[in-house]
Amino acid sequence: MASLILASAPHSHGSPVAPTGRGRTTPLARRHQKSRGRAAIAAGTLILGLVTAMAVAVPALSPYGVAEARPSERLRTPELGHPFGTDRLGRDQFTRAAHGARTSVGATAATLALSLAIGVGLGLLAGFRGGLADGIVMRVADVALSVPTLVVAIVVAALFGPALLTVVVVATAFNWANYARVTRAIVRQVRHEPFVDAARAIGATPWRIATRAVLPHVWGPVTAMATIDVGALLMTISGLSFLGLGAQPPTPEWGLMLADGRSSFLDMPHLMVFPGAMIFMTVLGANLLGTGLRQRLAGGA
Amino acid sequence: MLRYVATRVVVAALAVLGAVTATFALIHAAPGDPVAIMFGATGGGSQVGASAAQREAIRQELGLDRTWPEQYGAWIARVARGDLGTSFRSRRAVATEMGARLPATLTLGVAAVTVQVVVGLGLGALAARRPGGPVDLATATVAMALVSLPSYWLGLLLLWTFAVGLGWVEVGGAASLPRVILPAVTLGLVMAPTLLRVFRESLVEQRARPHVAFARARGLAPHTVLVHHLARPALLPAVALIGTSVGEVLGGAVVIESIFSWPGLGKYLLDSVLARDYPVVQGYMLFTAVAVVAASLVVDLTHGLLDPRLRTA
Repeated sequence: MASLILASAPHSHGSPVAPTGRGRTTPLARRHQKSRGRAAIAAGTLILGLVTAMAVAVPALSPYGVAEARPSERLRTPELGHPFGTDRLGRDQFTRAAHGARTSVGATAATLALSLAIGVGLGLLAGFRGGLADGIVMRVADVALSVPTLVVAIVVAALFGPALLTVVVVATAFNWANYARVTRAIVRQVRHEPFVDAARAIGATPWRIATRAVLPHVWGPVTAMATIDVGALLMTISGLSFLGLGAQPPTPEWGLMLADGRSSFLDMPHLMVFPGAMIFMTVLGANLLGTGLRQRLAGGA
Repeated sequence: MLRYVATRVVVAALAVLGAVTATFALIHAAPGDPVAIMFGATGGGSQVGASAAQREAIRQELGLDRTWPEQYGAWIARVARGDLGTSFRSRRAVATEMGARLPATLTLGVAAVTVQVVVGLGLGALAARRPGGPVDLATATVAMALVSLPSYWLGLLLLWTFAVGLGWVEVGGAASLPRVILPAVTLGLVMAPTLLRVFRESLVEQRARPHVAFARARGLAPHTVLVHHLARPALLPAVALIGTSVGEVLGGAVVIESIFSWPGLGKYLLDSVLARDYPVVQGYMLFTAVAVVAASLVVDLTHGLLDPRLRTA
């Protein structure tokens, strides 16, 4: 399988483990793939590093407060003092975008952490126990994966009131299923390997077997998957804020900033270009990193 | 084949029942008194002082005074008759209101999926011709960029470019066929990369299989091999993906329609959500569920047609 940057697509979590011996996997092709993977990892890390640096440094160094409105500096186009311009209230958009990284990426990270904990946990349970527990977990996962998340998130936001926390909970409710599936598949694969039998033979507790013998095999594929999911999650979370169903003003959040900029974007395009570009770059960085990690798993074995 | 179809239909019916139940549960789990919300939503000041007796009358009309197994039974019976309730805002039947907006969303959806299929399958087939070649790398880069683009940002950028920069389209205005182009392109482009990758992967995989080598060895023309021996099996995963597009369109429509003020179901849902018009929200959720289940049923049946081996399953 001579593969490419995107041969293993984000959002298609079909084969969790490195594809083995499919097609023509020559050593040369594998090395090729590995080097592409390295390039993707480097590019992704660089982009995410820049976003992180911005989130950490700008709020500390900026002369403007996150909610500080300067009426005398309203609706500026990008200039030296305001690289991203200012909005209708005279707030510095660069400072707000940096704070926005904390909100948007923070909410995404919270969703990921929650869904990983739930997904990996239930996946271990389903994989080891089998039987009824397995059946229930996997059927619920099927349902979670087939529901259009955005529609349900909109409905829930309508019923329970718009808030960032609601969005995080809903996104988690639909995001864990992929991790559960992959974890379960890996557990089933390694369950009867000699090292697991050995652990059992020396009297290791089920908990110890799960955490020491099996989990190390789970982390690789699940981390690659989670990295790729960052993109889709960030777009959903910011998208809901864009629609007015997530973060509420005056929270600095990229989707919300984009929605603010939307009302005057015909003559002030910079107000929607920069927040959108922040989302795009972050998602791109995460996707590059995720695909690179995945390729390293596929080619490195 | 009959048994294959029957199984799929039963599974689909159960899925719809599940969705109807989930909708009921979700609406009833929501905090707040529907009657109070109803007055809050419709009352422009005049109805705020509705008397306790009036409230009780409405409560009875909505069946809120009954036990909830009774309400659940009544809900199922109503949905089965196609009665989705009355909009708080317009006081008209939700089903009628949704029906009026369905054609606009359908137009958008069909146009968007067309863009998705043309771009996805076209570029996918191009990329698969020489895996690892320059075309493959270029398409992969395009796909990576597209998959990272938030639809709402792409929509605004396109709108700005074509409305302000080039002056080709006007912002707003009535729904017409030319006006669907920009929203459809936005939605289609965002959905295309996944299809592109799946189709490419599947073509590359199929090509390594013996029946293709045999077809080539027989001296068949390259396009005959592509159409008859490669594309048909390679389309299976792609068809499954196009099926999931229905859910994506119905979710994406909410965003896209509100950006382009396209008068479809998505915009209607968002307006209703912001006005807390519960019956409409409930109706949209049900509609989505039925549409998604129907799409996956169609996908299953198409699979049966494309792959005879499945029919016995």
